Amino acid sequence: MLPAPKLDDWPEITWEVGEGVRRVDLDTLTPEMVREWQPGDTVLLSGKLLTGRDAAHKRMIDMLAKGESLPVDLKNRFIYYVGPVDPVGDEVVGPAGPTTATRMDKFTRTLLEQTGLLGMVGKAERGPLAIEAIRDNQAVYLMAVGGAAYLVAQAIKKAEVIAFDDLGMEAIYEFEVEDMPVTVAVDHLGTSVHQTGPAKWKEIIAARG
Amino acid sequence: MTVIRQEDLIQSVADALQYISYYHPKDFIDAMNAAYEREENPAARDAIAQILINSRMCATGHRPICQDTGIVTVFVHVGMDVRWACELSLDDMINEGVRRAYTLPDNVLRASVLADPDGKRKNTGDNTPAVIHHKLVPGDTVEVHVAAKGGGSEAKSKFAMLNPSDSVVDWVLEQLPKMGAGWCPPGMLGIGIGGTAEKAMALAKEALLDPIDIQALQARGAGNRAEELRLELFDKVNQSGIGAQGGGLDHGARHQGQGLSDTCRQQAGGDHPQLRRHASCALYVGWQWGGRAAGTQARRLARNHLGSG
Repeated sequence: MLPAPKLDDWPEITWEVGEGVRRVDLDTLTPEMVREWQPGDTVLLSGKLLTGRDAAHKRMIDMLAKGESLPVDLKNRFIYYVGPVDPVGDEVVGPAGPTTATRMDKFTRTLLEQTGLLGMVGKAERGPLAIEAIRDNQAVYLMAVGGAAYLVAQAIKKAEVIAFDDLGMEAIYEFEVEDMPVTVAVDHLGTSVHQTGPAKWKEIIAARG
Repeated sequence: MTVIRQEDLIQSVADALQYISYYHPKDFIDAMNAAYEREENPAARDAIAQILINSRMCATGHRPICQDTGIVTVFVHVGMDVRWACELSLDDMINEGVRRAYTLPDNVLRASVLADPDGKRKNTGDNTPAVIHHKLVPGDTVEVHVAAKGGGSEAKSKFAMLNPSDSVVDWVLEQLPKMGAGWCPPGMLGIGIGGTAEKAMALAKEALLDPIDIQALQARGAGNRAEELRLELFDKVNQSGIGAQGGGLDHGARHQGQGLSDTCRQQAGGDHPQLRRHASCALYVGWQWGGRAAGTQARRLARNHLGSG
């Protein structure tokens, strides 16, 4: 048998919400409120959050192209890019961290413009296509921490498949979340922390020689 | 003569995959904690804190570190003196172990493998088949290394055919800004140099399995060309400002500039002029040993020695 590690191997770290964190109710959120968010802001999301990734996006875009109506109203909603692990025991959902958002870049403009989707939650940066679409539609992109999937799942209190259940983990779920930690990565003006961040830190590091 | 029984091999593979789904190895935790202590960018520090808290929760909860529980990659070293008491082929046994691990009711893992990838794209349902690399070695043991590498980092793999006068360091530094952050930095770089195209890729992947010892290497200094390259890359990569959640300082766990095994150097400098003409160079990124699973892991490996069956 493989030996189990000792719990002492892990440092005791407590995660503290910093000052100025925004607590947001997704169920009453408006486009005006989203425009107040600044790049780099920490936001704690509560309320109903939809999910969708590659296969669900492809299918929605195909349906819109054919003039069909979507099974879910996306107006003023947020989509979380995730393909969760199935739950075990009394879990509502298994580990559910964000997946790479750039894979959804090519679908973003159509969804924002044709459905009234307000924002997205995913992992890492967005490419120029998505950033321009976000700016043009005054939307927002939030990032969760890739690799903290079990921690994120603790913020999910309910999970229900509401469309495309044949897609398995890629189906559209509706999550009920409570204080899910995310960061504003692209604000409504199209400012991306993945452009400003490395540039800023490269300078800081260089200045130290 | 050592006899390897079918059930032992299958269960060992299954146990190892379950193990790496919820335990980070200690060298990874230590390096990540050192990075946490040093990091000055609040956003990056916050992300590293979440990763460490998540890691501990997974260790106690026995649930996967990341929702992307990876495609299974197996490096199996078969001692030439062992005898097999098996009906299934070696690959079929390994895949049976994958099936058993990913469908275990107490800790179901995510099935992420599709059959007919350019057609029906149907999920195989149990994460089979694994990608398996075999080596026949002297001896009477079978050694199995398993990794479950997530798509977020795997999708950032790079390959180049460099000219003899090109700089490997320059090439790596040129790739990094183009890779985005989907590989979940802070993480590891695995680099393979030499051989043919597929050989360089395999070397780069295997390099991710090495222990995280860059701090020890910095302390003792480089003893050969491969170590010089690792140190140079570590310094230069960490000056880029690329880091967790939009950038930050250098992280201990990040950018180890791994790779360059003996095999690798042999391939590049061997007696085959045709191999020297172009140094094929491959770059894999990931988290060694169970990285941040999602998207990011190059999880290593539980290492199992199967002895006398």
